[in-house]
Amino acid sequence: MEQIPANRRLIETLHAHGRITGEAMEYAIGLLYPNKRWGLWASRILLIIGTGLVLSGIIYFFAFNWMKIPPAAKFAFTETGIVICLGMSWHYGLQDLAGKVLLLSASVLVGVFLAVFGQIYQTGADAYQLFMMWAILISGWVAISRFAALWFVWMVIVNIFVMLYWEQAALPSKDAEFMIFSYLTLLNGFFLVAGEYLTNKGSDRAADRRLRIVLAISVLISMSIPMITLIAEPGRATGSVVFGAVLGFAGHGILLFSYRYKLPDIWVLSLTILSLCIIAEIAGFKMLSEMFRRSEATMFLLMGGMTLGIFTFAIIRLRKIAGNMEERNVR
Amino acid sequence: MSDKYMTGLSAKELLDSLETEGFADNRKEIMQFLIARKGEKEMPLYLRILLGVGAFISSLCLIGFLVAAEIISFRSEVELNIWGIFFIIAAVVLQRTSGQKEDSVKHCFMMQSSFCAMATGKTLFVAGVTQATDTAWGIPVAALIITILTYNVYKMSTDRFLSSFAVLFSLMSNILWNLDMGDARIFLVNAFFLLQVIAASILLTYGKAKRDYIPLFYAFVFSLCVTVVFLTVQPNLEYGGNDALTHPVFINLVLTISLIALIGWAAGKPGKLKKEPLLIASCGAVLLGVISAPGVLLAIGLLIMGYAGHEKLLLTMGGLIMPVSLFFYYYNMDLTLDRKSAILVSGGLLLLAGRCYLRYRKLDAEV
Repeated sequence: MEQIPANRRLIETLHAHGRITGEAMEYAIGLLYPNKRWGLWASRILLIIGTGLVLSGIIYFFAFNWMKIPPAAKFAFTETGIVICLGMSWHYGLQDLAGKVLLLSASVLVGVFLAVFGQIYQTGADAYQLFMMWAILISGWVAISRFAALWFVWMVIVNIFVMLYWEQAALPSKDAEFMIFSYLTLLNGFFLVAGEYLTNKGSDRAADRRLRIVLAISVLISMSIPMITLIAEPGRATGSVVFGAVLGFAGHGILLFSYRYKLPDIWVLSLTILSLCIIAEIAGFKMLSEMFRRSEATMFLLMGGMTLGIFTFAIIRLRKIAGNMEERNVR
Repeated sequence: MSDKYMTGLSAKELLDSLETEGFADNRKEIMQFLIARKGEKEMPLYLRILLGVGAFISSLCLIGFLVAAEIISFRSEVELNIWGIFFIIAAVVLQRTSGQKEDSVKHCFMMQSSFCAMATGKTLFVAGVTQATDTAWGIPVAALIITILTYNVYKMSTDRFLSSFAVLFSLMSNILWNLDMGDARIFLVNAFFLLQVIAASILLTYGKAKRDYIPLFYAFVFSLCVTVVFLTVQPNLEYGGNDALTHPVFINLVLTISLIALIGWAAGKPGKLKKEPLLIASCGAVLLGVISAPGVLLAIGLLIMGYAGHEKLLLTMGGLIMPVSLFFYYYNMDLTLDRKSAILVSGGLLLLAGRCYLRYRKLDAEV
């Protein structure tokens, strides 16, 4: 009975089958969802969605009326917006979600301001410079905010800056073009490590866990691309592909070890294992398609068997690990 | 969602509280009832994802093998149907003989093989019926037949969800693209949307609905999300110039009524809607329905359902549908960006006003 979670479905089932009275059902629902929790939850959801809608509306308005708005009005609107958001954020304080959301809004408006500035003065700057300045300008707010959503926005801006810099300024040779994946792996890997460090220092764990999963996905994607390229087209693999693949291989190992033993997290572990399964599938497909060039049927049959084997092994391992984690009471 | 927002009681703790308050004199009977209904332990989501990906790839390989070895031909409906039914039967047999020891190699391998066989069988059967009927309507009809036949026989939630969703998705696709009905199409779209909302509501609120139908409920909810996102991008279905009955109004109306019903359900019973905060919430829902976009209404509905039902998957869906629908809303061709901007800002301000009310009445104090 301790293993069965009490939720609304359970209460309604008991009532529908006549096991508890209507009065008992009402009491049980009140117990599971006290008014105060409802109020707190609703208040936060209204704040987040409301702010998101207003900010989207402002961005849509600028996009549509770009040509019609005089430059002074564009500046006045964005700068006033930033000042109001900052002022209200200061008023509420960064302990309050309203203060954090307002700081996030100010950070988004800084990006709008930079775009307006670049357009009006025709600075001739590349797009990567806008994102670089944006990231630099808001980094102080990000550091003091202790707000996962703002950290997430900042990391997205930094990632876009790195990708645009690579495309517009670094202009890599053909041999070095895959280095972008290694840089993104190292960058997001650094964010992941920094996030774990900050989590240990005591920030909001639930929010940080979501950030951890998002970061793990981005690291896994940037690690897997060179690995898959090396496997699929070894003849055309450049030095940067090989480097990225070696880094990716080591990175998968580090993720497996870290989230299995040091910071147990079954979701990050599952994502890493899924990534490894897909890489193994591609390697298997490449190997079998070369071995059985003349017999597609044999190739597909063996490939199917191999897939079942790989995923069965992965599921068994994950089940055992999850069992061990449950014993140690890890989420 | 952290404990600040949600309680995390077990059935035992709930029963203890009910007993203390004198609501559970039949404690033993309730316990037996709950244990009997607990049934088989559901596989965690991360394992279901792995199982699903593995089965998907292996079923593609299996179909590739059958075609390459010339065992089946996609031109022969008889072959496709016979092999389809064979694989479906094989899937059920494999599942039934996989044993009870969930972490054994035999069980895992047989479950994986079983799901692979089921995916292959259903694909071949649907392809066979479509070939035989020579119409795209063969897809939803075949998918519906095979889903009904296997739903209670093949007990795997991933399969139940995917099959049910495939039926709904193929129905919607056919209504939108494969129906030469002119003006009547908009009625079908509206009716299909309404039916999905009704079905999801029944599955959500009917206490006697079995746990087995939870995947079906999720399929309806997911299909509603897909429908709303599609209609956000492509709202103009050319309903004979009659603006009053075009679907954004109808969809918003359905979603607004659903939102008010959801608020009543979440509060415990519809009668509680008379209380001041809930009355204001209902008025807010009506205003939102008048001024806002369907994606926003659906997202809020999903978040309420997720929170009230302790269903994190619904909360995640609600959190995702909002940015997705806002992104697609940008590309909605029927409205100018100016109008979209006004709709979004007014909707946002309305929600922020709701928050100010909660603050003013001190209803959002930390627990």
